[in-house]
Amino acid sequence: MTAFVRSRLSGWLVLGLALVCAAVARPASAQTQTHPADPLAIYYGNTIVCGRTHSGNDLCHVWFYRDGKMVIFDQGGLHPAHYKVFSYRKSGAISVCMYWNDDHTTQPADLIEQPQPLPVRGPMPKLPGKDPGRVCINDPTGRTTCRMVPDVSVLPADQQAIAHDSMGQRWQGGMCYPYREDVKPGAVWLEWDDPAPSQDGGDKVWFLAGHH
Amino acid sequence: MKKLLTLVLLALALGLAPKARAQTVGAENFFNNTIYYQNQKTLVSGALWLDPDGTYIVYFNRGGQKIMPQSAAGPFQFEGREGTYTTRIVGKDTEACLKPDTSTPFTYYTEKDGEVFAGTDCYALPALAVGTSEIKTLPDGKSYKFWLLAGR
Repeated sequence: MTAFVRSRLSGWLVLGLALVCAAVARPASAQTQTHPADPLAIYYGNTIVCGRTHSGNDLCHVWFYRDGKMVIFDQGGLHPAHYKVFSYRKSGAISVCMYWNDDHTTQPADLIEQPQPLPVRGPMPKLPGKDPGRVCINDPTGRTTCRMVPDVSVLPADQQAIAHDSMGQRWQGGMCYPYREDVKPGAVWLEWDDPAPSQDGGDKVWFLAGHH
Repeated sequence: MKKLLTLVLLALALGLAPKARAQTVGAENFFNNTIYYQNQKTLVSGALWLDPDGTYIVYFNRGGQKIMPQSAAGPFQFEGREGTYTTRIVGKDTEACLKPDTSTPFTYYTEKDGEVFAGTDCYALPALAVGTSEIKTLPDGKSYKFWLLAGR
C-alpha cells in the first residue's frame, strides 16, 4: 500500500471515528439538555389537581415542596406527606412516589357528608366477586401497579393483607405517579399512565399556578 | 470605619430580628393538631394547620359542584391556601390574623363566599380542648361547628 493510500485511509478512519463518537455522544448530551437538575422544579409553589377523566370533578390537590415534604388534600381532608423521586419513564415523565406521613385521615367522625355529584358516566362500578379487593405493588423503579382481584382469599397471605388496606394504609406505603417536565402552569391534560385510575382508565390533570 | 460597620450591623440585626420572630402567643394548643370546621348551612368544611413559625395552611371542601372546572381557573371542589399569621388577644378570645399568599391569579370561591379562615382577616380561634367540638355563631351570623383534633 502506498504512503498516499495509507494517509487517505487513516484520514477516512479518523473521520469515521469522529462521526461514530458524535452519534454516540448525541443522545447523552440531548438527554442532559432535556432533563433539568431538579425534575420537579416546575411544580414547586404550584398545584396539581387530579380530576375525573370525563366529568373533570377534582379528586385531589397536590403541593410539592423543595425539602421533600408535600401536602395532599382531598375528600378525606388535609394530609401531611413526603415524596421520593425515582427514574424517568419511557414517556419522559419522572416517577414520583408519594407517601402519607400516617395511615389515617384526620377528620371528625361526625362531620356531615356533603352531597356529591354523580360522575358523568354514572356511579363507580361495584367491584365484582366474593371478596373483591385491590392489590397495589410498587416496583424498585418507582412504578405502582394496581390490579383488581375478585376474591382476595385466593391470594398469597402477604397480598391478602395489601388487598384489604385502607386508603390511608395504601398511601402511607406509597403511590407512584408520572410527572411531566414539559408542562407549564395553566396546562390541562389526560394522564393514562396511572396506577389507580379514577374513571375509564385515566385521570384529568390540571396544573395550576400557585397554591390553590 | 469600624464603628460605622458595627452600627450598620446592629441596625440590620435590630431591623430583622422582629420580622424573624413570629407572634403566635395563644396558638400553642393548635400546633401539630388540626382545627376542623363546617359551615352548618352550606356544609362547606375544612381544616386549618397553624405552625409555630407563623405560617399556616388552610383547606376547604366545597362539596360536589354542579359546574365542573371549565379551565385551569376552576371552579374546583377543593381549595387550599397558605400564608402567614399573627395572634392577638381580644377579650377572652385569641384571634389569628391570617395573611394568605395573594400572588396566585385565581378567585378563591371560599373567600368570595365569606367562609371562615378563607381570606385576609382576624378570626377567633375556637377555645377547645383536643378531642372536643362546639357549634358557634360568628359575628357575621354564620353558624359553624368547630373541632380540635389531635395530630394532623
